[in-house]
Amino acid sequence: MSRSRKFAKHLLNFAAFVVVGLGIGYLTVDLAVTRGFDPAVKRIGGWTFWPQEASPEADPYTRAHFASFGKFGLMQFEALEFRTEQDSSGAPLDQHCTYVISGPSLPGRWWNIAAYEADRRLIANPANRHSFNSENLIREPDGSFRIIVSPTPHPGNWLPVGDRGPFRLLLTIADPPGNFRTNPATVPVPRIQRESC
Amino acid sequence: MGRLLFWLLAAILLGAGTHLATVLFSPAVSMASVMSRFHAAAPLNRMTVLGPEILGTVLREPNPDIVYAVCPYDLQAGDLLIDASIPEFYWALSIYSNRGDNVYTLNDQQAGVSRLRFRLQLEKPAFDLQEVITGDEDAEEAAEVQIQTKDDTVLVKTPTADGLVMLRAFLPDQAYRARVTEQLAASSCATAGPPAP
Repeated sequence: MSRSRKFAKHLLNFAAFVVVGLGIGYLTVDLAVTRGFDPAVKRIGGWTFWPQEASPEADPYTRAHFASFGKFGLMQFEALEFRTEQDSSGAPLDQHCTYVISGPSLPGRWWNIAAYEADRRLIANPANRHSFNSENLIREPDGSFRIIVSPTPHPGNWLPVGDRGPFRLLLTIADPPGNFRTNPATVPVPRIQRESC
Repeated sequence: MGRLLFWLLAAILLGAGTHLATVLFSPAVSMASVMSRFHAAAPLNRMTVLGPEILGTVLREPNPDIVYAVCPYDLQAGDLLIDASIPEFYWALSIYSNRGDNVYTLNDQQAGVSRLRFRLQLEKPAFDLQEVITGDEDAEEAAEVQIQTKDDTVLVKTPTADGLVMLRAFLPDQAYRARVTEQLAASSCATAGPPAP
């Protein structure tokens, strides 16, 4: 083998090493920071919950997760935050579709459900509505609630979204009861059912 | 075969290095850029209510049912005095370090008053030569005296000289926005000048 061919082979090996190495780094960071893993993140009924959010004692993964989008969060004794990018069947949330979010009333000082673009900005809409909270939503006779997420107007609690792209829902429970904090799995998180697309 | 194993091992090591470096160092970089976003939007050591038009440019995942006011602080010129006017619905004051850690939080129920003053001080580093020489009992005694003599002011310590004070006030409905904004805007934040000798 000539010297130049040998050199080219080494160069190729090195390039492959760099690409594969950085690839492994990128993929594992994406998995551990963007998606998260137990115990840094808890998954409850399709919603995700990061118990260490905003805490000075947060683990490096929680810290990296929230720093990646510049969140100034609240610690769990002040508010619990549950996020989801998928419906209850596990399919990704799509702004083109119509969903029904339903659940029992939640304890705590107040709570709300808000919709965001994938980049965590509010979804611009002519109705200028981005959320429903425990005080302003219309309840069912038994106290439970139904919110319709759809690009087209609906009677009742209509939460408008755009007409394309993924979206994210955020459930915030302010001043949550102690048992929600010690055992977040007991939080009766709302169900998200896809009605039509 | 041995050579392939060598490159594979090297790639895994590079991947692990990339992973660790990203997880450990990226939060500081991201938070620095987030802080500069706040500095561009709100003057230093001043309380600014974030109107809907500016909210989206500085805050990610803003809660649409909350009116926010922020005071980016820098304690190099001295302590920060915060005079908080507490609106009638849920309210919380949160102090963040420049890492986005929520180092202090108080809500309206815990405060129990409609107006409250805070003095924000830089926490002494964990290792203080003076303290080692004189013994930390004196320092503790001095701190207690300080809290007692300023009984109308809550003394709060932060680990970093710069960071963010954030006020959150709940909007049960958008109809209350003007009222809650006005109440929140009566809060202020100012530097106390160099500490007394």
